[in-house]
Amino acid sequence: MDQPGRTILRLLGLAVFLSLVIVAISFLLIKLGNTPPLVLLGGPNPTPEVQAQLVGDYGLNQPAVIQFLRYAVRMLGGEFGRSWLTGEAVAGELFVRLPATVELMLYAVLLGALIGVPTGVAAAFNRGSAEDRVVRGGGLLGEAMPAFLLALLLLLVFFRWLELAPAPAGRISVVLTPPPTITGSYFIDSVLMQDSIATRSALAQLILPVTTLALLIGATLTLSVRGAILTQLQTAHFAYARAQGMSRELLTVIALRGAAPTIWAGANRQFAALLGTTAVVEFVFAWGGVGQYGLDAMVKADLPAVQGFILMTGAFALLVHALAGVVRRIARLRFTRA
Amino acid sequence: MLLDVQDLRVERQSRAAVGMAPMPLALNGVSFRVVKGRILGMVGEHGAGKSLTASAILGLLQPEARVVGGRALFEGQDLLRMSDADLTRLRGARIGFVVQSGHTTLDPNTRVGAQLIRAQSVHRPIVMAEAVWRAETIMSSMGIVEPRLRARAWPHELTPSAVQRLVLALALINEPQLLIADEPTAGLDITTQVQILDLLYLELRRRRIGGIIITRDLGVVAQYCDDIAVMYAGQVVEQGPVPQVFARSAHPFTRALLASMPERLAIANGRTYGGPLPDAPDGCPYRPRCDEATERCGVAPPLVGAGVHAARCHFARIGAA
Amino acid sequence: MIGRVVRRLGSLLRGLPRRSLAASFGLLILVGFAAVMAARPIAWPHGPAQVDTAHILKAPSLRHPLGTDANGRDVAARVMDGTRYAFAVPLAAVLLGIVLGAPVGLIAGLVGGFADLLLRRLIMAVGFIPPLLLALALVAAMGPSLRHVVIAIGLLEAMFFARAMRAEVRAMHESGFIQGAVAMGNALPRLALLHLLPNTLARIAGEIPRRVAWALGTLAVMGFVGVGTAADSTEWGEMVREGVALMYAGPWWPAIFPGLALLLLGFGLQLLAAGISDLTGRRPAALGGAMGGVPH
Repeated sequence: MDQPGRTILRLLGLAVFLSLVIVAISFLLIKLGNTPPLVLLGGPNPTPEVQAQLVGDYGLNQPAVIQFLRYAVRMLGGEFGRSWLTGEAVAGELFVRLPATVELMLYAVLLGALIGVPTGVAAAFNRGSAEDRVVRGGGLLGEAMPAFLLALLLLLVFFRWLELAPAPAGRISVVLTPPPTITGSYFIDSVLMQDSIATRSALAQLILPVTTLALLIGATLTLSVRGAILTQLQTAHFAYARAQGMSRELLTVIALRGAAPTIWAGANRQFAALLGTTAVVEFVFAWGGVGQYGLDAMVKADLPAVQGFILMTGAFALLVHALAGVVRRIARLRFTRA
Repeated sequence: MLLDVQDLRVERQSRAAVGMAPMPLALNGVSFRVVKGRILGMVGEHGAGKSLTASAILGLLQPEARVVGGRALFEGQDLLRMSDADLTRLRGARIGFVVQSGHTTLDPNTRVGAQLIRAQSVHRPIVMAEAVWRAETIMSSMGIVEPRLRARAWPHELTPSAVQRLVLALALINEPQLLIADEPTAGLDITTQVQILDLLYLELRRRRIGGIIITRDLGVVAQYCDDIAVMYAGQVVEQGPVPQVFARSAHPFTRALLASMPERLAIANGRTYGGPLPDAPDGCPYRPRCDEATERCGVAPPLVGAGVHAARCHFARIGAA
Repeated sequence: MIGRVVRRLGSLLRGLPRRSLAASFGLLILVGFAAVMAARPIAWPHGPAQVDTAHILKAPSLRHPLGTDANGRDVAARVMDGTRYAFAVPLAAVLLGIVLGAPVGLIAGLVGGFADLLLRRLIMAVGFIPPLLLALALVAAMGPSLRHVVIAIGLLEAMFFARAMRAEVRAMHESGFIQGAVAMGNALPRLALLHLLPNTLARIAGEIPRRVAWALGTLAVMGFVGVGTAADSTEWGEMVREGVALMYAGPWWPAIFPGLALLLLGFGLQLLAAGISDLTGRRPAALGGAMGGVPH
């Protein structure tokens, strides 16, 4: 088999293995629980008919391995079971909430990059200066800052005291109806529908959650960027570029270009953690995204929902990781000859 | 006077461990001069401070090191007191820099021709056609064949010889007044070394500009430099015209250095090494080169000694303790 | 022998501010919290469970510097009392993580081959699930209790330590150190136990502050979301949760001060971690999630 073909096959195999492990974790979550599976699936007092049906459906009287395999097939096929609370299909619930989460993360990452990259670059170029120390201190503070605390602090100042921001009640003011779903983003859909009131409200609701997340992302990114750029600044070819008399702007570009792979890899590694942070932020702001759903499910011990949520986040992170790898390969081919 | 360095002092900060004495200055009063049209060779052992001097002058010190005294006057201005912005304008334009090991220092992500163009555009607004022409011209004069083709190459695709020629081209493309070459032939094989040095020498002479060649090889100084500055432990311990210093060195360290290179010394002193034999030697054939030749050597010397060790010389002492 | 250790520690500490300001400050913060936790029962006039219905929701004042909560209890006393959770749970969890993870990593690193590959892929796979969420899910599945919290966080810490140990051992392997020792006649198990384990643990020890910080953050989120400990405890996350509704109405101090305590302690840990990496010259483990960073 040719080289690219083998690589793809290997990656696919890896993906399958990884998915199975993630599914196994979800499976273990159920097994760990004290609730007997029958109660889990059928409710507090399942009738004999229901019991029999469940045993048949889920293979409850078969060995654990078989159960796991059936479970895996079911989960990977997208069937996450039904929520104990609402009785709705978990998969459906998650899917509906996905755009909210994606939107929040997207804006936050963009804003966070806007904050973090220039700060990190400036700190690296001015290493040892007072500004550098402030930046490093700020970065550490951002790393130590609990997301919920930052969210609450921002709410306290801007919502309660200054009355500039709206209440943390989701993606749009409670008195308004959300726009019809085109993209799933309330903000974009309002714009598309030219509904200025809804647009304004959606935008207002976005500000604090996005800012919270962006600040946290920015802090970590700043430290990461600073480190990567510092490494570049110490290379021989950077010193040579300086010797050639290149301007500060050009040197920044050169340093960034060299540091980009490291920064990208670092961001990639951070992504899973970011999903966790996003969930907490969603929780505080009642955002209505996947994260809030998952956390709510955990509080209420709605295990099918929890399982589905965990599986989804794992799958999402895996997907993003794969995509990031693709981007990295393309960039390497196009931009460098290293 | 192209470059007048006076009493340059550089301190290198290191995290002194608790209780240790403070570190001595890395550069402890370096003074030398470069005259327009002449080439200064800077020699010294590893760690003597040669590269550090160049970095200090160009304002390229690493953050742990800083200038704590002295002046470096270039075209009337003190480089050590110039702002980084002004220095940036000088670097690569009025002062050219030739690095060692070009293959680790050239930007690996930009094509060779583009780097030559960038070296120009960084210092003045350029017209593309003119910049390209300049780039190709200088590549030719550096001995790079097929410049147009070569211009599209990436640095790692070039041979070490071509890399150093490119480095030389980058240093010269903006017509600097002063060229600083830091061990320009480190790591190259002997033939290439000679080629690059010859090229460097030619360009410096042709353009009538001043140059500093930093090297550990006295032979290079002997062959290519007009003046020599000998560095030891962060100071210039002797400076002067090459013939003078080589013939009658004032500092013991210089003498020790020279003592290790008699052949090159001879070359510098104008005596040929090898070369055509005298056609009808009267007396000893080595007489022209010999330090200890006297009147007696007009007469062919006898073979002194017998057995394993012998020499044909009036003053040969075989078996002496 | 004890005297020697103490003296060495003493000289180390005295030289610290000069060598790393960050580490010194971090240590100061940690010691400060520990001191407060120890001194509260004797030095502070109010108790954490002392209900005083006459002084409900009083703003910070001289008498109650951090104010009082909805039951008239002194917030400051409760925050100080909560330090017990903030120290005990993360430390226990990290300890559990080391005990579970380090041997696994050590063995995998030594044995190499398929076992090593399997371990790495396993940890990689689990790593795609946000560690914070996984810890929360585990507690949700197991049932709310402090023991389950420690186990859940400990399991995730174990993965980090397993991977870190494995990397260290692998590096030693590649450097030929292990082959050399074996060639000189050391039996592998004895070698592993007596020499490798302590040595590599010492190297990884620098990561511990960050790991503790992660555990602390995770504990707090558990408390805040409502998954972990019992209600009405003085665990800081729990206190924030109870105070949130009040905050929107006005009295912000029952919610914010515990949060600030969290921030301060976490910051101290981060400072210490940064200081250690400055001192040892080793770069911190890859930032991010259970595999190196702090959850938010």
